[in-house]
Amino acid sequence: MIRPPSFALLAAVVCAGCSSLPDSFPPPPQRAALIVPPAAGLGYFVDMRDPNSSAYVVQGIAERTEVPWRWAYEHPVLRFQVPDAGRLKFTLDFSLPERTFRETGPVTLTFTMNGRLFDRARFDTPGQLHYSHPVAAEFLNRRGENLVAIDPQPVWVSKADGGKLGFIISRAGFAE
Amino acid sequence: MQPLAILCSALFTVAVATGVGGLVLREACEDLAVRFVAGAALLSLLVFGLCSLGLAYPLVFLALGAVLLWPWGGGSWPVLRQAAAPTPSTGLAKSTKWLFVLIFTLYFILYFFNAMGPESSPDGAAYHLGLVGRYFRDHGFHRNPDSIYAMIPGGVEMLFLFAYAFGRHSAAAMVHFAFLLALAWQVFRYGSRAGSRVAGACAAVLVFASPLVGVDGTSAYNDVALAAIAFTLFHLLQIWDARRRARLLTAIGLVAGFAFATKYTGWLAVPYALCFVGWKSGRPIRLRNLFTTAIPAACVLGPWLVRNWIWFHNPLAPFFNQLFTNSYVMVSFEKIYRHMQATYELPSLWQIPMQVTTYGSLAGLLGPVFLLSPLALLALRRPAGRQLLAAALVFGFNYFSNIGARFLIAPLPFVALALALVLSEVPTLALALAVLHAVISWPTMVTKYCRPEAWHLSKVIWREALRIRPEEPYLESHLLYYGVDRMIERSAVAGSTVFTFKPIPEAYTSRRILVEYQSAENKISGAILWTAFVPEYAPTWRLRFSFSRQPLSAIRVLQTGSGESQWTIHELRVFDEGRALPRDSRWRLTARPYPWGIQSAFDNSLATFWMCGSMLEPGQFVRVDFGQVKTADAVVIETAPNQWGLHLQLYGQDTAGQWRLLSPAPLESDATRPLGLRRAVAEEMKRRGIDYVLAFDADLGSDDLRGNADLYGIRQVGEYRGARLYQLP
Repeated sequence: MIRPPSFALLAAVVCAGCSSLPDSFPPPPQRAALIVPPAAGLGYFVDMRDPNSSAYVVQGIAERTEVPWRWAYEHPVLRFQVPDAGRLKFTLDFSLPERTFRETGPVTLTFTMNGRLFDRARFDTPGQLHYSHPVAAEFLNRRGENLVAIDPQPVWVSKADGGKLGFIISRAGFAE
Repeated sequence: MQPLAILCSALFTVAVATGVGGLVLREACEDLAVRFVAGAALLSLLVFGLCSLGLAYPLVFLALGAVLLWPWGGGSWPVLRQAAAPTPSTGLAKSTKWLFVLIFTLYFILYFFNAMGPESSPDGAAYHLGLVGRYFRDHGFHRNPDSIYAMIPGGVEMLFLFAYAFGRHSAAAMVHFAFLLALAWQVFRYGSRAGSRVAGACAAVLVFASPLVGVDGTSAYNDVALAAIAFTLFHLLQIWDARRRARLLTAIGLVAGFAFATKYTGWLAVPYALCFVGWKSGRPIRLRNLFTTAIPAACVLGPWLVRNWIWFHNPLAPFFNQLFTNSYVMVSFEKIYRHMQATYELPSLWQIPMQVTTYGSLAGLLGPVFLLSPLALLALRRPAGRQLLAAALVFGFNYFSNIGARFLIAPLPFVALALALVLSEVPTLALALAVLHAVISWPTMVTKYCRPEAWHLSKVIWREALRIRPEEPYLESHLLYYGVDRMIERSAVAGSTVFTFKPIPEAYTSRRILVEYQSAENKISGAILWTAFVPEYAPTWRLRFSFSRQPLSAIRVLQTGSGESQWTIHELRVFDEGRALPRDSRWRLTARPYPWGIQSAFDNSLATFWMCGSMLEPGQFVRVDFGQVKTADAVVIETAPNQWGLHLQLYGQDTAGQWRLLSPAPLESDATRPLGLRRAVAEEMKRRGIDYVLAFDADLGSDDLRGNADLYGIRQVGEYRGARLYQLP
């Protein structure tokens, strides 16, 4: 027979030691959400795979297809809604295909934001490329739309029909 | 004054331990080395008790020491006189004797000054004394889930604390040095009895002059202490076998338990002692002898197990976490840790003999002469040889769980003695080997053949030991990141918490240091920080399960893949016709295998996440019980793309309580990185109790912290040679 003090000691040891996994937890208090691009309408970043990506295109970019990228032509323009989120940079994931690059050579992209030139960058190699450049606050319209034009120079001109191709755009927009 | 304080505090600790050992053993064994080790077990237990009561104060230690020394005081002198009396020199020629005296004297001088010098050993300064310093500042134990090292039993560290209270870091190292002296002495004494004085002296030289034993035994480590404890246990068992005194069994139990309490790798000491006593006892008294041995052993090792059980829900923390599930150490960490310790990234285990004896890339070298260890098998012809080799097997049993050379120190004395017994059949050969070992183990010789990274002593640092040269410049040049400690002390507010990916010498800072790999919470904090700057850790992966709209009482996401990554969920949302269901207080969240932290997948923050705690294995799941019937048609998991091998299925529980497969696989897509993520990460780190982040320029993401400090809202408050301290917002 186990006497009470022994039992108490035994129970204390067992309770303290025998850890079973906690069963379940309630949901915690909800935190303020971070800023992410909305599923519909305009946000600060567009991926050409998104079903909503055409909302960001003002002009000069091919229609959305099954592939996760689109051709940008001679004077592509995108639009964004930029939140008030501190220091930002404009980023662009794009490609210069080997085939067009062979004829155009190095391509210079001229970036204009809300009608103001904010950067010019030259790309000397074909393939997948990444561009990133800080954007000064005065270039941005924090309340309304922001138009970003990305003009390639030179563009590739089709000998067959005279069509002009600039670069292949995958993703573009603002990031920290 | 400082050298005197170091010396006196170490001597006081050793004297108290020896006195306690005298009380335990009395006339059953008068060997001071045996008494010291046996008493150390009991003193360690007493200090443990004081720490548990929050009474770890110098005055309390002083009073305890005085009380324990009092009854021993008068009676000790005959023992001391006996110990100091010249031993008969039979079996040793005078020239040979003086040769051994010369070797021991030279190595004693080397070791004494290194032990007394500023403590600059990597682990000693990082956690052995880091923890001791924390116990001292807190006047005892506190539940410390921040570090796996705080979970490992610290039997010898309790003695370090006793000495540290008066003489600080070097006093602790001096206590460890006392274990080395006790070991060498006992090897000599036992070898002299079992074989010849030449055998005993040669074996003692083999152990004492070993480069790794020297550097470890003069640092605030515990490997040499474990070896001394193991050998004392062996020695006591042999004495008991010859004399059969009950007191010896008590001491055997204490010492066996102390081996376990010193290092988990010493766990076999207890079954070894019990088997020996049981085997050698006659049938009628067998049980009583076993109890007399087992109870003291349990008293010494039990408190550590109970402490871990209560605090960490795992008596053997930080190991066996799959068996004793707990929130403090993840199973995935244990798996990686065990693998690293078992391989050290060696291309082949066949490299071990050369590495541990000669090259030293496995954290030190025992000495090239130990390549002759296989010859020790010839000692099997003698009873003593069989006893020694059995003990070597017992204390080397765990070696392949950690192939660092330090883990061979415990079986080393047994191998050295067995080897010496064999070689002493031709005394000149044994003598030549001992002299060769002594010559090629001297620091200036060691550098000629070991690898540059091998851990060994470099010279006699008597000026530093006597503090003729100040500590600061020595530590600056000999202890990695000591300057970082100083910078933290200058720049971080007292009582604050610093997070870092790299361990730093915690023994020289009073700030609370959280090292990324050292606990589950720290691992999560590290992964949260990586979320800000490692693209694979950013919450940009979306997994969408779509199914026909239906009433459900619960959902379960089941993981069926295998792989080396971990399943994480930043947010899990349940949708009905495009609208996320609000997280109701009636919801109940469950996760396996690591249930803790699942709330982070339901807090609406992409800076926090649940980690499943183990590598990917089929059967892991997350379940949401709605507490009522809810209509839903989709579940979306927002997570990071660093989960190669992840395969998820979605199950739903209908109103009848039946579980059905709702979707065999999710539709995967990428999402844009949220704005404000860095700031959210910094705020989350702060919320987790971290005040500063210490980043080294070579660390992953350190450039991001430096270049985007404004986006994080952090401020660099200190810098030391590429180590930057950032204060969180």
